Amino acid sequence: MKILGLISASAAVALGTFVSLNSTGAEKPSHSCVKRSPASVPGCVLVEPEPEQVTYLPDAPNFFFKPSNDGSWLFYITERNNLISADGKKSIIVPGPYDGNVSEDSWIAAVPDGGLQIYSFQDMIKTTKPSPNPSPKPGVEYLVYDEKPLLDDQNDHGVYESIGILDERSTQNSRVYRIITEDTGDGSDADSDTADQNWSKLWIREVRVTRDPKGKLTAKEVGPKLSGQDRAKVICADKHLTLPMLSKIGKELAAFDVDTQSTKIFKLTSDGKCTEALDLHQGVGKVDFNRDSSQITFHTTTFQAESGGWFSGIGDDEAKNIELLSLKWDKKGKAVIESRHVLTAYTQPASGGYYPHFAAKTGEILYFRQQRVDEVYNSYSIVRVNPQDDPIASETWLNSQVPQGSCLPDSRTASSFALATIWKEVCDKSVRPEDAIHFSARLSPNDCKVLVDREWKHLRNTENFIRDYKDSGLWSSLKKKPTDAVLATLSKTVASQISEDDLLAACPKYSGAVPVITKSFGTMTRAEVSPQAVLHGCFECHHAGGKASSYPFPRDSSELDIATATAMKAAIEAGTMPKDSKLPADQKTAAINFLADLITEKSPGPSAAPAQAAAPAQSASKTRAPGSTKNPSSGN
Amino acid sequence: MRCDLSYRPITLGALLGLIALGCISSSIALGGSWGTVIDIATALKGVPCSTQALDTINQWEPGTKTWNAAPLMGDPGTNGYRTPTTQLGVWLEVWTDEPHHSLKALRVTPNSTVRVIWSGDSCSADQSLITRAVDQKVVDAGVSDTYLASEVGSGAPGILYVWSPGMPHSVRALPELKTIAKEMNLKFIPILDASSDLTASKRAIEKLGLDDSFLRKNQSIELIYRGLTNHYPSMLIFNHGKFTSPVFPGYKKPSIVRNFIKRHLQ
Repeated sequence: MKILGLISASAAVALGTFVSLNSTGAEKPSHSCVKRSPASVPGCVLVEPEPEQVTYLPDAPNFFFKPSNDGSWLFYITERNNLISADGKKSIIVPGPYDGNVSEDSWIAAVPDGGLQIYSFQDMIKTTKPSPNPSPKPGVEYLVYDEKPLLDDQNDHGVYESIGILDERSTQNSRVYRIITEDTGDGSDADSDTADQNWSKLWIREVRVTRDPKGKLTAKEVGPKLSGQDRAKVICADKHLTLPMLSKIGKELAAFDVDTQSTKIFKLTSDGKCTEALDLHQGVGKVDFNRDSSQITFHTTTFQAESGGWFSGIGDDEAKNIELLSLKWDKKGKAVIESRHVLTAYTQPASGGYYPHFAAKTGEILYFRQQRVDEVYNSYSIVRVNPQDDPIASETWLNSQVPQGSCLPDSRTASSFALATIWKEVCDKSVRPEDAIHFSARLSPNDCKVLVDREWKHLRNTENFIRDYKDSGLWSSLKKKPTDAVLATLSKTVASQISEDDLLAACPKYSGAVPVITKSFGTMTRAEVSPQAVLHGCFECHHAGGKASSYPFPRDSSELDIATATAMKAAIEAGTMPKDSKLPADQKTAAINFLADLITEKSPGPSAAPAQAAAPAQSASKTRAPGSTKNPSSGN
Repeated sequence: MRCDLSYRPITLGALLGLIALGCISSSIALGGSWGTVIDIATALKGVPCSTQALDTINQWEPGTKTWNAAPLMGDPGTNGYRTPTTQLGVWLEVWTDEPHHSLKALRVTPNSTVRVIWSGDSCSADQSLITRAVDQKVVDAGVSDTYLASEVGSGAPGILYVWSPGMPHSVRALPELKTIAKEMNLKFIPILDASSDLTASKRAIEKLGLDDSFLRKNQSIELIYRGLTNHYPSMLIFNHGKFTSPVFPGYKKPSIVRNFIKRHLQ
């Protein structure tokens, strides 16, 4: 197992795992990351499966990349198209400025460059011609492929191309490829009567490629059979779509519907129309299909609304992560989501997973990973993961933990509860018990053993480790939720029956693992706490529409009068404000010091009308959640 | 037709069903178009503690109508909805969580998030104030919600355009958009991908002869929530003090861009 912590260039090289690093090729230390995992707490290290492979790119790349079907070669773009072997040992300059693409069978590569050019992919990767301007990167062979294309279609039908193979019209030595592009506008279009002439169009064209006995390829444009047209064909003409991605079998496509502002999956019908199969109800990054379109993967962008932020910019709280959806198709061409799997947990500033693709042959997923090295430099890599190696991130894993038809969980499930309780008690008591199951299931095998050896003998006598889950959905399969008494009894019974060996057997087992970086728990390092930010939080609460709104609070701290500031300071010191949340110690200190300075600054003398100040503080202490039926802290 | 969701996971398939039942209106063009609109009261019907949640969000933002499905990120079994508000940079979220029999509402602003979680048979509420410790200098140096509120709120028409040095088509369009904005007398606000490499970004604009104003990074919650940062490039049009177009992702040639802008300036 490799525990890398925040992966730094130098550490990565030292471990011999990676090829090269960061935007300039220079190794940079990871000294300025402001977010840290709680990995320093013994026994609390959480991990996820180690990627199958990480290819660090030698140049600052663009985000577009495309893997070959086994993930062994990767198209990526810098100021030109490049092809790099996944082991990083060969880097080939290939034709075209952007969006180099390879067919799922690795026969052809397609490049849009004022039209569309089709090349032999196998010839590309076999080139031995040295690059005229190789970068001085030791251990990397720099080559160039500059042969003529198999087919050069000069009709410019735009960019964002992707390729499918029409199996029913293909044989072992002859394949028909369907290629989709998005016309970025201005294209003359005699074949789009129904198309909005003010809108970009999705085009498909079809190419037959034949392989002779010596392996030499020839290509011929055959035209889509969709319409009887012999040239390219506009599809989905009645819709306002953009960013298309064709499935590997050429029968489905994913695209962003500008009218609904959501990404959708469509079935392509024989007349060139697109029937909606699934609306993801959100805009996501470009979608990739697996070999039979039973799965799709994409990245999503979210704002970390509950993270509490870090001493950084708002933009750094944007997270991009990779999702995998399994689809079930019906005979009418509609799809439903069977399961969902979040593959990554990127929450570090300026880090994320982008633009995932399937390595169709292996079912693995490759995605573009960006990690901040410091304020200027990022590290770029392409990561290959096998979703099957990460059972805990899937819904199926969670469902498997639900006791079915019995109050008494089996020993494996009970052990999972116990591990979660141990982890929660030792590592982060603020985590909800239900979430602790998630976290403890990501314990590193070594840390899990440490926790069991060190803690179970003390904690096994607690009655909580099952009772804590009484409000969770884990009992949803039962007709009636167990009572506290039943759960307490269960806790005792199971605790007495679980051995250390049971717990160790329930510990996660990874052949390799790297730390999960999450903001949900653990320690963090702030360069500085902004008192204004803390006070602004007061403002937000007092202006949130609840009862706290009865007590006006100025947005600008300069408008605070002495009485209010004094009352606030007293209430914060006493812990009575904020009412329904607890300020972290550093924020509390910052706010108190700030208010003290403010009072000193505004006050003509040391007395600051404490009698007047008491009223708002007392009032504020009555604050409770708007709309609640019970004051959570009153005990009523 | 009854739109009874009861308390079960609202899957995307179910959402489609709701559309079919007429519970959700699709393809509604709004000022600042925001995709498929969900009736939040209908979506939460039958969900425990929904009365309390609806009461709270109504106090937060009375009459907010433009709810939409939130991104799928979150625990399995959860379903999220979110809406912009009348205040730029302030969004509301509601999350149902069947596995934990709880309901959560968030009021998200640039500086903090107010979170209320209702759970249990009595729907007891647990309210937290999560302050965001941000570096105001970093925020102010970028395109912040405050800055956008000022620019959009001025009433003048303009274009927001997000780009990234990692997406060559987004770089390619920068001078084209600048020219179009000048031709059409529009404000042009280029916004750099917040996570982009500054060295690569500088190199990209220097090659195009553009100045440092193109290097202001996104520091706006509003733009992240609207999905402007999902893909680079993307653009958004504003006029009369509000967003007037849907998010338009992907590179388009100038003629298409001009038509899109004209269509959404009205």
